[in-house]
Amino acid sequence: METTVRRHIAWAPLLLVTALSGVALAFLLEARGVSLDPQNLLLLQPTAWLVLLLWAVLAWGFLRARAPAGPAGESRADILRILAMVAAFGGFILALEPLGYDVAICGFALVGLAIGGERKPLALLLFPPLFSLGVVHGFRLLVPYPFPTSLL
Amino acid sequence: MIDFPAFGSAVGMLAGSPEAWIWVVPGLLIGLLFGALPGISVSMAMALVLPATLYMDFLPAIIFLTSVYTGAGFGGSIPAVLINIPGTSSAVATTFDGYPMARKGQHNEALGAALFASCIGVLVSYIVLFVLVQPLAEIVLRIGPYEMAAIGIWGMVLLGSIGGSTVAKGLFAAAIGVLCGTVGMNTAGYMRGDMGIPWLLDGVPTIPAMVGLLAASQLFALVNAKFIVEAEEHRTISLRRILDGGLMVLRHPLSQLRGTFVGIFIGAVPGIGSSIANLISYGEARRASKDPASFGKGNVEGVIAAESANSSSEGGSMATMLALGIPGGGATAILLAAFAMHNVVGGPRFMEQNRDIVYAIILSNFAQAFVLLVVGTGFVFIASTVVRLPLRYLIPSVLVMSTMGAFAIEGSIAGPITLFVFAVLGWLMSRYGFPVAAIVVGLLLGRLIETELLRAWQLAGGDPLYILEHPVAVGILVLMVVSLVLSVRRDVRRRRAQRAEA
Amino acid sequence: MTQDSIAMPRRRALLLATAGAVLAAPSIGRAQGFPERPITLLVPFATGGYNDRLARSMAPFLQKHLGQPVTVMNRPGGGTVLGNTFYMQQPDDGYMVMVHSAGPYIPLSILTRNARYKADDFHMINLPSRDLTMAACASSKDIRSIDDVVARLKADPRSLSLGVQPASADLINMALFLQAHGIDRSKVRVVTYDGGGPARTATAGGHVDVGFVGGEGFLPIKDRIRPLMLFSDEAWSEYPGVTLLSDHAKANNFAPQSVDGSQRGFVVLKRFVEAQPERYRILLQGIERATKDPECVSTLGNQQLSTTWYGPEASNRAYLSSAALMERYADLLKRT
Repeated sequence: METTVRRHIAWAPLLLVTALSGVALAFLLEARGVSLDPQNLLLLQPTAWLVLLLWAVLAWGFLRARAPAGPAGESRADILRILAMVAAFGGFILALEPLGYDVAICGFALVGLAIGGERKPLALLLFPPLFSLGVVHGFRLLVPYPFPTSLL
Repeated sequence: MIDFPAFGSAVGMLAGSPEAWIWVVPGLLIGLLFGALPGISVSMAMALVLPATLYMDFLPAIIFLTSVYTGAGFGGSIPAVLINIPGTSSAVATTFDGYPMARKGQHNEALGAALFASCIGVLVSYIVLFVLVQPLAEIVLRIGPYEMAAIGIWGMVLLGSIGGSTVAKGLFAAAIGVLCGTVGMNTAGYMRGDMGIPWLLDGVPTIPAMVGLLAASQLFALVNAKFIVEAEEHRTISLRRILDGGLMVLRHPLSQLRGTFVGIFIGAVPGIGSSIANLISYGEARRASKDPASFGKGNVEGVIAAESANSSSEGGSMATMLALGIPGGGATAILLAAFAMHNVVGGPRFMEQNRDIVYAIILSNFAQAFVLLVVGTGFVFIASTVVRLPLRYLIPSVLVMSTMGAFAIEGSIAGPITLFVFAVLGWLMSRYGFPVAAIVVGLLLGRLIETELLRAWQLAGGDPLYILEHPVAVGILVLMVVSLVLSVRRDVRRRRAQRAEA
Repeated sequence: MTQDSIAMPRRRALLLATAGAVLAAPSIGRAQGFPERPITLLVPFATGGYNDRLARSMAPFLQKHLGQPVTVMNRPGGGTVLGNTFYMQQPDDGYMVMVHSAGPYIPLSILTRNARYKADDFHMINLPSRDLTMAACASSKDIRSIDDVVARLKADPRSLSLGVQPASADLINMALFLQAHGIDRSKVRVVTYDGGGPARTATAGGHVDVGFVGGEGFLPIKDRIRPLMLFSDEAWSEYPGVTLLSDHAKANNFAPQSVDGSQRGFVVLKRFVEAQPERYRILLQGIERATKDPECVSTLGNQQLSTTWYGPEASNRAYLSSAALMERYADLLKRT
């Protein structure tokens, strides 16, 4: 073993490829349960096998990683901010139907601004409602499908 | 093959009816706006303006609709360059080099190159249409499952491991994309992977998934940045630099022409069209380039190849619509509906009896290409202000707009949910060095390859030698192998030369 | 805030575009309590298809005869399962009417997509448009007639490739036809297309030897194909002289059996008809008057949209009998 480069296990990407390969395997098993006819498995089965093969190759690599995974120079606060944005976006998608598109958009715009570092109270107060107003009315004109709203 | 008396009467028709002209600019602008909004497709834009054309004469109505078509064809590339969102599925490859250019502060040049490549693509495709409408349509109609499967495989080989830090990561991403593309009911009627969710039976919604993978994931990664373009002095919006970008197109005539011809033939195939042409043209430009490694990092040739192909698809699909009456996609289906609204039945008989009207439509599209150059420059100039917006405003706004677009294209919450799932997947994968572009390529091409390969298999009744009855497909595959061998040999030589230098 | 700055022209352009079609206020008001607010036409398909065009073209005339604005809403996906399920969840107040290819989509979605509703949960007001399965080949092929097709397939089931949509009325008709002639379907090269459009292109382009698909869509490319047989017992004026299944069956000594390719028109829920007979009567009257309105007949006629009035009785009978036939032949859909 080399002494200059410290090797360690890159857990996060290892977990990611393992999870994805697991989904691929589950998909393959489910599809084989539907039918073993080549008309069902023609492309799906070889691709799923390829995914599993590549999982082995990649996992071996991640077990012996040289450098920590992820972009360099990222502080803990940076990662937390990204995770907050991902969570806020997920919350927004979940809130669309129960709260209505208008309220969800307004709320997400507010939280998004705050996560992005906007601190001016006037901007935080004005931008979200005006933005939701524009989006909801604009898309009502454009889209032939209805979307639930509570206030607008 | 040009019918000169009809040509003369077409010129007269256009010269004598100013109302045929006043709709060009509004049409282009509507198209640009709709095309630039993620999720609002070309066909949706045309369906929404269709009722208005009921009150126009036939020729102005068709010119108005084709203007919307032309405008939307380019509109999709604006968000592709500026925020990595392909406004339509035919602008996917535009993001590969357009967005890296924008991040380097070359958004003016990228948009200028995209615009000029599009205009030239539209122009050349209509010139080809003008001269060869009938034979072009016949060729396109002959492209069957074997040929399409070969084209799809070609695209996969060219772009399969695009942009990954290692080949294994690239292939893994592409294979995941292909698997996503096979979810739902396949063309033989087998249902798998739908997890009991009714909307998944139609497959993973492509456009929301693409926008999630390419754009939303990118926006997450930008949460800690202040602006898309980091250096303040590069955040300029300059007409001169947009035009400079246009000039770059003239300096790469080969990429432009190759893209245009890929677009005319592949883009015209009913039901597949411009998004595949866009990918194939990009892949070919990358393969043929002396410096393939610069692709994906902001090479203007990538933008030119991608944009020339998707816009020249318009001429190709107009050929099948005019000469055969077969709509290649949503946009031409709406044009046929507009024909019907004016009591005109498209198809071979229409071509024979109304050659002058067909010529007038084509001539007006020549003009549209030039008008688009002007209108598009102005539009791009205004749209570029996006780079001056602070990301803390841009990120939530664009996420909301993408969500609404995803809703608009699916008509239900299915779109937004898909967008979110793929945004998270895309963010995680790109974070650990997996190329997100390869997933998108896999998703788009995977579905095409499965469908066409399956039909090829059904046609052959399981006999692989049946492919010998399809010389064009064999030809494409042979060309593919030859071109691959040539580029591998060139790579090996170059590496040897580099080693010799070192 | 670019969003706001670009919103204005877009909105103006759209107002311009849709003003004529949808937003005009109704001129004739009705005295009754129903309808007192706008009525929605629900189309379970994306924009641009036959049902969407029918709904959008009928809207102004329905508006005229019902006295309330009529708007069109699309809810595509899942082979109409999404639209149908959404419709089942709406209140029975008569403010939403479907424009649907009820046959074959409702029964097919039950048989092949495990949808939870039943065929007779739906009530047909009028199904003006009927489409039939047609067997056709490219005009460049050397197949002369349907008897030619039968003879070749009997000699060698692999000699011809047949194009069809999976899980469709066309597939049932094709399967019944092959069965009647004692041709083993599992030996025939059947090529599947997800949509009528691709199946027609494949037929006209000669990718498959014979296509089995709805005849209406072939009209614009009539010159490029050779119609071989119509799955019907009635001649179709657009395709004069084409062999009918009934005649072909008589000549070959089997009982002709087929299902309609498409039955499209206005659909409500049976639940609503029972709960609100008065409102149903008003809707029925409005739709009947609009359908028979001479202006409507000529406008829709120009767009190749059908305005025949069959009425609820005949429409329901046709729909239910084709649903029953499909249920009977459900296992033909299962595997090719």
